[in-house]
Amino acid sequence: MRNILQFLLGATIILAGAFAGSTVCGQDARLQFERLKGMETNARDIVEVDLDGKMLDLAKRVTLKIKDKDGDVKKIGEAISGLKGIYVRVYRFEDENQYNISHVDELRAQLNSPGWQRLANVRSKRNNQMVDVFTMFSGDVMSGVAVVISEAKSVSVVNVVGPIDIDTLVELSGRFNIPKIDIDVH
Amino acid sequence: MKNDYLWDKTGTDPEIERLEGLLAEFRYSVDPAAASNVIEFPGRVRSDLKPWIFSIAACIAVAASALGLWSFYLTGGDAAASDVAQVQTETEEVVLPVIPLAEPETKTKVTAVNPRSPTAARPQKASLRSRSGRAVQQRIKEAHAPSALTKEERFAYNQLMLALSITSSNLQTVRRSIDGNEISDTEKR
Repeated sequence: MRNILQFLLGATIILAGAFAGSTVCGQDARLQFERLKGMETNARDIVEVDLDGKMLDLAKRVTLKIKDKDGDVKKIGEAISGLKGIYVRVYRFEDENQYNISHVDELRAQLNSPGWQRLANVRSKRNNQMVDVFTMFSGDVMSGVAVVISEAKSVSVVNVVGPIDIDTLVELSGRFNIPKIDIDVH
Repeated sequence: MKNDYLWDKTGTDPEIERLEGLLAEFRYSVDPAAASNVIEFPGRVRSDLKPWIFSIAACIAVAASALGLWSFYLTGGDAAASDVAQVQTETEEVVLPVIPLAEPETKTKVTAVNPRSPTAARPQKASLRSRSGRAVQQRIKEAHAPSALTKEERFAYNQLMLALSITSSNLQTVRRSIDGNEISDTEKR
């Protein structure tokens, strides 16, 4: 009886350590958008999309169900087959300087944490445009993508958790199954 | 009475000897068969299983439980399933993106969130007052809305398409920005 208890205690300690270690070391690619809520007050247009878990699984199954002659939907389904979550925030303002850039900077600070690697960094004085693209890899597998675009009148953040075929998405943009919505039109 | 006879049977004691004769039949016998009311139990069989096998089995059970709880935590549980049905009953039609190309008359807000989030607002039907916004919505509806899909499936699919469209748009913006910077650098040279 005493031996059994000792084994159970040891197993529990090992499991707890493994869980804690994985939580710390296995960086989560999901960003926290709480600080962006302050933009809602002055925003003219707001788009929020949180798609993960069972809703995302349902959407993936739908892409397999739909059959179109070009096979675009199937391509989309293949591009997102490993996706675990996709989170979008878009805020558009009537005039310039109607939001606090520090909120976006705090979001960018999350991307300076270990695990994220900067892929692109573009700064343009035209419209005060700041573009950042970050990726996160777990070994050789992409585990997350983050795109943050802030301009004078708009802020757009896309956070993808899990591997996604970016080239396919860009290629299919504007075609039948992905409506081309140019959010940068002013 | 002679005490020696009782002690080591030396000497004689007629009274004790008479009592011994009378009680002789009740004398203890090492032969078990002599006592008919003695039930013999078989010796305890020692188990061949080592006690540490049970310990390992217990550890495996604990590990399996922990993994199950962990995966349950990660996937967010099954509560979302019932919430999805509840959301669908509340909305008459799916929420579609409202990103009008022209200036809208009033502020519009489209919230399309996963109902699992505790801070998520319920999807609201947007008030579309711009013609271009209605055109976008109509285009999305006509583009890919197979009638065989259920309301939940259509909602999930539209959410996915909206997210992917914004993602691809952002990526194109990145590409344009990078290309634009490369062109300006080339021109400067």
